[in-house]
Amino acid sequence: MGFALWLDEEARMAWAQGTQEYRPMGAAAIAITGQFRRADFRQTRALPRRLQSSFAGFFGSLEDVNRYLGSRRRRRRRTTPAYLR
Amino acid sequence: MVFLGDARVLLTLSRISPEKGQDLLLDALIDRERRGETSPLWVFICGDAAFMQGQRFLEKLRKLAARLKHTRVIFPGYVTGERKRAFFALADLYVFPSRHESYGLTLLEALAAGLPAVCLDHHGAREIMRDEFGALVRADQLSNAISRLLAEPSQLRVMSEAARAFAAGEKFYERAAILADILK
Repeated sequence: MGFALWLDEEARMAWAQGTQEYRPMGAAAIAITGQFRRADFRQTRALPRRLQSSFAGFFGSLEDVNRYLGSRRRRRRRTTPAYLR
Repeated sequence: MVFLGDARVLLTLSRISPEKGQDLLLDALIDRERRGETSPLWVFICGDAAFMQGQRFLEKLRKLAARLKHTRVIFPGYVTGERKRAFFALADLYVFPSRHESYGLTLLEALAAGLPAVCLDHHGAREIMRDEFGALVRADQLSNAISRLLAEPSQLRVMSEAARAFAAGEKFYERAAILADILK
């Protein structure tokens, strides 16, 4: 399975499109702090056009996508807030 | 008509999609050139782009390929039948850079055609690969493994025979029957 990921920072949403073998899985949208599941994907769901500039990357599995989202959260947590710097 | 001269030829064959790892192969070749290895190399990355965002991934691969100065990368698209056999005959080494696979069908096809192979280490490749006809490596070892194997044509010839012999004993229908038994 291959996945493409978009992060909508403004709306705090993560969007993904997936392909299993040659079959399109459709698109899924979750909270940016969440984790994707296979059941989140809908063939009929369209990716909003405004996301084209929010592309985050390609991934070889849903586990890789979720690992990326998790690592992103951990990185953020470690960041010192601006007012304390 | 293709004139290869003294260039060596790598082949990979699969859907153009992130899980198939064609980007890892191109990264390895960029690393090879960075290490100063500039012997001419042709790389055929065969396969159709996956349906969702496949074209975008193909564009990414083309951009990576454009960074190579001494390696010619060609994307012939989907190949089958005689054309596929011709690519197997043309290649010196098969590269199977998938990030994961349940079963390496094209890997077995390549071995059956007498092509030694370099594979990333994952379950599907581990089931098939043996040291006698190639190498099973991590992504960061791919560049070195390709260089090492291409540097020894006589070794590749020995591996080619071993690959053919191994593949002749691997029957897809037997594997399919095992799987069917598990699913029952």
